Amino acid sequence: MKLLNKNKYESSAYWTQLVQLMIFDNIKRYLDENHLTRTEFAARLGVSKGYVSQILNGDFDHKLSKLVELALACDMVPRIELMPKAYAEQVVENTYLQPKDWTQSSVYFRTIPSVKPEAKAPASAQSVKVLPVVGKSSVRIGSCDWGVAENRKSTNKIA
Amino acid sequence: MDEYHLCPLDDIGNPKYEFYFLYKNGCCFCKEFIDSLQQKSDIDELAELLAIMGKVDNNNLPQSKYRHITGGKRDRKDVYEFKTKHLRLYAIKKEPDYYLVVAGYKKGQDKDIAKVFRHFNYIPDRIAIKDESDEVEAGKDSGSDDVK
Repeated sequence: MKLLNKNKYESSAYWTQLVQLMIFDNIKRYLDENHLTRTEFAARLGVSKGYVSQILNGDFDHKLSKLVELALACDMVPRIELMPKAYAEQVVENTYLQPKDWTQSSVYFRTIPSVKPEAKAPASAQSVKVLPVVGKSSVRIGSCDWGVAENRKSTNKIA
Repeated sequence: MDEYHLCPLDDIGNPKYEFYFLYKNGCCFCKEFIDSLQQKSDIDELAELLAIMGKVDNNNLPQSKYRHITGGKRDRKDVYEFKTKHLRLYAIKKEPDYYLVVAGYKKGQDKDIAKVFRHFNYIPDRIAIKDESDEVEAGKDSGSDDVK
């Protein structure tokens, strides 16, 4: 038996609620981990305490720019991606209902304790860019590898 | 003697909790309420409730969406409310892993919720689970798939 007599994945209200709950979850976790009060967080954001309460009531439905400001106020950056509808069930399960870690989450900007600033690399190792060869795509900028690549051609000092 | 049975809700998708409609003598207040919702705004809010119920875990939701009903002279202490702007669903939480969805109301109509829960002061420890097809056959066969 179903609670809703239509496909919930076709409902914008369903997805909006999931995103709102995810934002609530992230902000609340950040405040808890950093022992911040709503008032302190509001001052950091430059908004009223009531506005923060609105977010923490799970009713965030504001401008995209405000979402970005929220993320930055939490020392994080937003990560948002759109997925094909065919993956709706997996997206709901892995991203919204049971995110296993931050890499599984589309809207997620909690603190990652294990990440520490890297020591400055020697000058010769900096500014390395790997150009994609025909086949699998890959972009490597500095120490970040954004794809799996085969037969990379490495060229130093390009960037 | 009162007859109870459960009907599983299979579109919630909560990874931790299962949800069931609780029927007493063939009647489920919540099912009747949900069937009565026709307006698009109500259907949208029902979809929001689906999201809230799918996400619920221990204290991971705002109080404005999900709360433990406490206080008063209520007989049951395990009643929880799922809320949207206008809709309310009431469920009995059975540890460790399931909710019995008992009643639903529109905002402002829930003053008599205590009366509804008086119907459920006693719930047997073991209740038969019937799926939708069994429901159609109700009255012909008292057989059950499972027991909670």
